[in-house]
Amino acid sequence: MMSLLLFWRAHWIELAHLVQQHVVLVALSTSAAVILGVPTGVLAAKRPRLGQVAMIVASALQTIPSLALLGFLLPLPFVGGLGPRTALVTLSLYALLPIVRTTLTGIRSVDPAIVEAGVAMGMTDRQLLWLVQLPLALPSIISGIRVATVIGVGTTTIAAAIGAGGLGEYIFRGLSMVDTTTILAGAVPAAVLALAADGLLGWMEKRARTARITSSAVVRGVAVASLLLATLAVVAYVRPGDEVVVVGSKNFTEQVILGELVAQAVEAEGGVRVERKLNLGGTFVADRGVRTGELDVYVEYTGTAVTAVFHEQVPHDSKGALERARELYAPLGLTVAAPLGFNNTFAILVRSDDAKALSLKTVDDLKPLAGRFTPGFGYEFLQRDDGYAGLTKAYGLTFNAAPRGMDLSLIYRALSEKQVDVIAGDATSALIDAFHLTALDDNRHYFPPYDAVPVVRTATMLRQPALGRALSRLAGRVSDADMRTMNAAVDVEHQDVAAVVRTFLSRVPRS
Amino acid sequence: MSTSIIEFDNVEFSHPGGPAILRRLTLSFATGETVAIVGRSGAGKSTLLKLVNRLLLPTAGSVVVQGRETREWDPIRLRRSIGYVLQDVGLFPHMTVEENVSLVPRLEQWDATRARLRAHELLELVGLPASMYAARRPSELSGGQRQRVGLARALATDPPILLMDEPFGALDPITRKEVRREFARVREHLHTTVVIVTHDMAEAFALGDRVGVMEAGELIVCDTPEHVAQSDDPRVKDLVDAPVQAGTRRQ
Repeated sequence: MMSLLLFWRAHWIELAHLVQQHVVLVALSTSAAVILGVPTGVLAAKRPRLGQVAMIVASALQTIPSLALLGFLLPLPFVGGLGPRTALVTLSLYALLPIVRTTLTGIRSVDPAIVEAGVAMGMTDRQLLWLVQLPLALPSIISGIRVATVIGVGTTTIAAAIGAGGLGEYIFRGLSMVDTTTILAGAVPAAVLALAADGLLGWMEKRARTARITSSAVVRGVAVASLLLATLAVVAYVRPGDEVVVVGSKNFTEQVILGELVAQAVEAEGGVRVERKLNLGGTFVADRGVRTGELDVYVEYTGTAVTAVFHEQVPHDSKGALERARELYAPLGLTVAAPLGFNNTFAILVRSDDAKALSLKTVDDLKPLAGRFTPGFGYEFLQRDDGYAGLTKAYGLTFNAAPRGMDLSLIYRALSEKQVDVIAGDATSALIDAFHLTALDDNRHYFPPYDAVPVVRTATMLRQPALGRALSRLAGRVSDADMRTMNAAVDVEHQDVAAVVRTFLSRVPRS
Repeated sequence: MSTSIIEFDNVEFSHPGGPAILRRLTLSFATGETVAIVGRSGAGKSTLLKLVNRLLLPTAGSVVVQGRETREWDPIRLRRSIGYVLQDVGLFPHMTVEENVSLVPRLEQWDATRARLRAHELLELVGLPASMYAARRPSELSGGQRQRVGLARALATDPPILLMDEPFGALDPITRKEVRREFARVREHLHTTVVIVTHDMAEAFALGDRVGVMEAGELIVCDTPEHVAQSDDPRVKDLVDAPVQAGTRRQ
């Protein structure tokens, strides 16, 4: 509890910014859903057959898991891409169902005698709708907006996975650091937002039921709200300054540290603004970002680049792997900068107790025992060519169960808590020591080299000399030990990423 | 009372695939008269009204209103020249009494002050002083008061025709008598042609210049109350001699 308050005190500017982004995402997506959903509901009320189709479509959208929907939209033109746009489209689609449904029931439940009176008085269909049906359906419509908003506040936390910001940033950061305080730092304000939205819209619903609501009052209210929202959106997402370098990272601690490292190094050169899109949901999202220009730079690993990004065989020596990566990236307008210095290869990890008791030293030692071990691997490792399938084949391993897929951030804890017995982790992970784990030697050199290299858009590098200077400053400066220390500072000691990077960078001379 | 303002000529009506609701109905209404149509539930009385303001169109035959067949009228224009009072009143619950009464004038683009003054004038006419009632919501009125507002609303543009469908049917007997008396008084001030539908013979006799008796979709007789009272038709006699029915609620 205390630590949570301290965290907020230390990060209150960032917190305010994330809350603002969260509110903007929810408000904009819900508004879009209202603009689309209310007319759909009205149409559905007037044309029952069309209404059925609309309801089926809206319900089907609701059943797609939110992360999957983000994934579908990401590569699409116009709606896709990293950042708030994709998040807004996804969130709007989710908000649609409750609004269409309550509009439909609101209009259908208007007393038929009242409708008949309106028709008999010579109202046109449009007058009947605006003067009678919509005002009487308003409380019901507001109740739908209320449900959509409250659900939206929760769903919006996933927006952080594609760099759209919001309170999900803390939740994802906390998950990757296995740090409850950071998770709560995002989850608690999100819950408060949900309750506040529920209260406010509940009050509006009640007022719409009792007070006289004229159409012009609604129009005035909507106008004021839109103006407020636009201002808030501009403040939340648009910053002054023309030249900007966008730095990305994947969603685990080391990547976030490296992203922050590149960002601070560029800032230190001065003359350019840096935007951070850290914690992106995996290699594929980051790769997509740098190819499309939504990112200017992120740190990749040579082995990952060749196998996972380009699906090619990777040379098993560091130099060969780097050269292959450079050849593959070049035609895409991307430059692979000088390696940072450390090699984060995969490490096959077991509990140190098991390693000692069963005298396990190499992955080969696992072979006779594999039948007693339950494996657990990150989703990406299970998917990749250089992942699980290749590993079991190279070492002839047969485990007692199919591998359990789990989130990368939970995998070390799962091993230490004996939910699984062997995992693939990062060689530089601080959690290896913290959870008393032992890395087995890859004696058959199955895993290719994973030297950390910044992947940069060539055009940006030419336009922004500061970026080139910052990257050559970092070249060869981050050793395996440095990386493990920084990972430990963040993951185990729960230090602030920015502070850890600042300390490290102060010891790296300017080139 | 020479020219007829509404004429039914051999009108038949049925819903698609349904049984006949009206059968070869021929009847005309003279300008300024009040005709009370009486009959049991399901006799086709309400259908007759809805054919006048084109909520329904006849399956066969013709309904002529003010010299033109309803089929040829623009339904919006036709309805705005006809006042309509329903048993369930159908006041708009989200509007004040004044807004309810001034609605049709406002739809007709009257200016706000004129519409407002007209509403106040009508409220006074039906015995609800505007100073007390104009700003109230329908939910703050008694059943009888609501019915009077419904009447005021129907009269707002001084329509040449007023249709009333069981206007006093939902009221308790005492209120019913009072509102009916009120209506008779208001009626004196109007030049409107009134068609009033009721299942209550006493009411029909009290209000109608002529009384039409309907049974199973057919008009049996339409004549002055005196003549109807002396009718030999057993179906008419049945209704006339059934005072028990008077004052009971429909359904």
